[in-house]
Amino acid sequence: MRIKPRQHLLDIWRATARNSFDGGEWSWGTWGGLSSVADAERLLCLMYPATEIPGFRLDTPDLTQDDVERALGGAGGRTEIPAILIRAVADFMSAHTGADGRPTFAGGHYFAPEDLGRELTAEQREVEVVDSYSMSVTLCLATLGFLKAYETKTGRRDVLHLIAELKSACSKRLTAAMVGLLRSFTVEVFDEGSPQGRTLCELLGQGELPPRLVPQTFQRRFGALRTTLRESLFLGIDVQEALCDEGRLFECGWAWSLVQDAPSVEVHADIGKQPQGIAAPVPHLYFTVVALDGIQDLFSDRTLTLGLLDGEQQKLAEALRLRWEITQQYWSGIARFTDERWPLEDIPWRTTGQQRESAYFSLSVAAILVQDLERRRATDEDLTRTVAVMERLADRGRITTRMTRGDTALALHRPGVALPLDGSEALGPSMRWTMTDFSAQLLKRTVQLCTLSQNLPAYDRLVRLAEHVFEHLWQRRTAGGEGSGLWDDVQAVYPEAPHGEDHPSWAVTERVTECMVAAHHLYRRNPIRSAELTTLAGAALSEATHLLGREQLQAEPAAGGERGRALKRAEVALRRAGQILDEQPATAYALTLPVLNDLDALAQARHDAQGA
Amino acid sequence: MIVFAASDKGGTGRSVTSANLAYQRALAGDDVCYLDFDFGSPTAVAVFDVPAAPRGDGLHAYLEGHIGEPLRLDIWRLTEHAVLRDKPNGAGRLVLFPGDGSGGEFATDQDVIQRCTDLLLRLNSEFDLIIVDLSAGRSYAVDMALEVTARPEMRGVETRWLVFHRWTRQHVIAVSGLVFKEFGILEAGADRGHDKAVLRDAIRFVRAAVPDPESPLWSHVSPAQSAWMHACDETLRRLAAEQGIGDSRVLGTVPLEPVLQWREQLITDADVLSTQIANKETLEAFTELARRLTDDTYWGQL
Repeated sequence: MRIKPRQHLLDIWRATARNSFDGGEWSWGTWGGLSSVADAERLLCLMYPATEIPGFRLDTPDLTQDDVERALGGAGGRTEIPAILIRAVADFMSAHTGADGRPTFAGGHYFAPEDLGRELTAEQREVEVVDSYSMSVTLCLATLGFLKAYETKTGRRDVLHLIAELKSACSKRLTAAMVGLLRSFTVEVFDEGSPQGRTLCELLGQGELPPRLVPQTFQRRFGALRTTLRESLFLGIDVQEALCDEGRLFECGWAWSLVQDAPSVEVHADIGKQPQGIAAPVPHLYFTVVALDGIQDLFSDRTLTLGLLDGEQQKLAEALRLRWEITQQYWSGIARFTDERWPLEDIPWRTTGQQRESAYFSLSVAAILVQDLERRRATDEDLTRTVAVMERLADRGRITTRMTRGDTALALHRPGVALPLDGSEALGPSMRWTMTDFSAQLLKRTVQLCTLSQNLPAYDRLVRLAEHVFEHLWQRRTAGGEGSGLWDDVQAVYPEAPHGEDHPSWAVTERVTECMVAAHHLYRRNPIRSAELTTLAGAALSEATHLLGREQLQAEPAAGGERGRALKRAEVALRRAGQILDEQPATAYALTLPVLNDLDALAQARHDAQGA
Repeated sequence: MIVFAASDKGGTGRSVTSANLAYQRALAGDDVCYLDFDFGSPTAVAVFDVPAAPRGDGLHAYLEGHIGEPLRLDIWRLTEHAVLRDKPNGAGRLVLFPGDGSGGEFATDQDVIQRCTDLLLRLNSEFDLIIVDLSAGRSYAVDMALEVTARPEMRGVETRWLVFHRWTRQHVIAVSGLVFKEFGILEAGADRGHDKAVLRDAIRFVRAAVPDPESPLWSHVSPAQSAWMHACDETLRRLAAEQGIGDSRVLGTVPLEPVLQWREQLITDADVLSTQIANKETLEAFTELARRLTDDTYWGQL
């Protein structure tokens, strides 16, 4: 199924509007307000495209496009939509603010007990989670930019008042989310002899390197990172000392929540008392990817050009950026540790801490690699190898192949991949986090990779893969009920899957929305040029130009005659072909061919007359 | 309610459109009167198809104090337009106050303002809707309207402004200048005691003679023409938004319509249904515009 980002995004918006607008107002329904992650995801389904794609912007009513306005029909006209949206975001801000005025980032119903027979305590549901920090960063940045544009467009006093309030709430929440991200970053150091160490050495060795040689190579590759970690970040005395021992291995990234004993970050903004962390200081691949995605928005072009960060936030962003760089380099290096066979190519990935295997973790590592490719630190060959990994993941997940009876791949989609949250047992029964977005993540990374690709065969493979995954995802929209047109009906593609929840999954819906935004960026790019075709089109063009020159040696045709017009047309076509030869050689070629044809008809006719 | 119809230049279809609005509102049951303040070239008699042009007893003569009461023409009774002649059941009154053919522009002194105010107050208690057709540009008529509406005795009277312009680059810039720039309507209003913000929110724009690329009229053009029209339309919208007359300040658009261009008359159901010389979309645009005139969701602060 071809991906048509605009049409599909409009479909998603129509479904979201049907679900979330009631009588010209935003309605949160029974599932709103229960999880800061779900609420942020839901708002981002509208706010993200509206701030990322010029054609979908809603902050300037005069420029709202007609089809977009129609898609949001339930929300009133173009002048009403922005006000309704900011009221919804303001609701979100107040719903997720504690009694003491502190922004909160509770996981809510996204947390589940490990032992399904037990109930989580209310305190546990209020534990903050990295997903929420990351989503809040994206949402606050989107909202701040939105408000910046909209405040100059409205004169309504009540709305202006709300904008001013929301601006400060957003800024405060943004600071709090950044502090949360800083306090959940962690480095774990372990010996090669420990179970973790052994797993990592096996993973990195890939049979090429004997496990005992791995630590040396590890130190060679990551020595510089180790020094930066030790010297530039404050990680607590224990970790700092452990890092000094160059014989020991380490992992860095984000834990699932604030790390135990994470010191408070000193900020001047009033974000209230910083809560105690409970998460074990262990990086999780999933949360690392989530954090990296959010942090990226802090230094996007949009954030910079609109000047969305204040001085203090810029400092926090710098601190996060350093962790972002280190983590990305680290995992990208781990993924490609050995040349012959990358650890990433050994699917499924096995995590060192919890010793869990899943294709989902392979996808997470691939995601970090894709981000690294984006920064052009990896080569085109690396990209091609990553394409194969993506294809195999789609196969593994039974997206491009058939699900067999009793297939274990089913669990990847439903119930999803469960991640025990270590440290959560301090407050009650152990908790777990469930990732259900394998397909959507795969699509997102495939599209991103496609945008980066500079070679045609890889590009075509990626587009085919993306279309496959998208078709699978598109079928997973629910057919009826309150979430009609939204995600996630796994049974639609895998009838044997267990029945899921009845309410829409904003996690998956938001991921698909992101995919469509990524696909939009993909098509905005110029097509990949084929070098062969450029040569061919160039040769054809020069032949045509030459023949046209020869034709113009003939007696001047009568003004207004058909032959004169044909020559004029040929000249225009060739000029255009010359202009676009480098960018679109195939189009240039197509423009040249009819000219050659026409010119030859004239030449033949003349030849015929001379023969007679 | 008083509605002033202004425009940046001539030829924007201001008179024809506002006459059609008057007609539509009357059909809907309102008592409507139409004042031809187009002092340079009064045309309303032609638009409504009434035979007798006033001779010294029209609006000019009244404002200059020559007569005590301006001429009023009952359209339903006097028009020569075959369709209009029979007043439909349920329709309100439709009365035209014509201008004098030889009037031309004249200076406005306090007496003129007073007479104009008296007339509007009187008519406001008699009619549901008063449409005042002003001459193009920053004319004396516009100044007079601003002056009159700034007076304390007019405070309780709901006043709205429609500014007509064609959908071209030049017109967009010109009409924005007419309203927002130096010596524009807003500034002139403020000089006469209007609150600038309130006055701005009482102004809406009407785009006339718009070739809407989406409309069925243009569905047969070639793909390239269609792409071009869309791109041009988008560029114009952007320009309009920059000039402060973007979509959110637009009350409605009137499509490009040959019947309006050439006949300059009212468009009736018969034109669309029986003779089919006019497009359905044009009539719909008029009825919708007429409805929005009094629909508060289209007015006030943005």
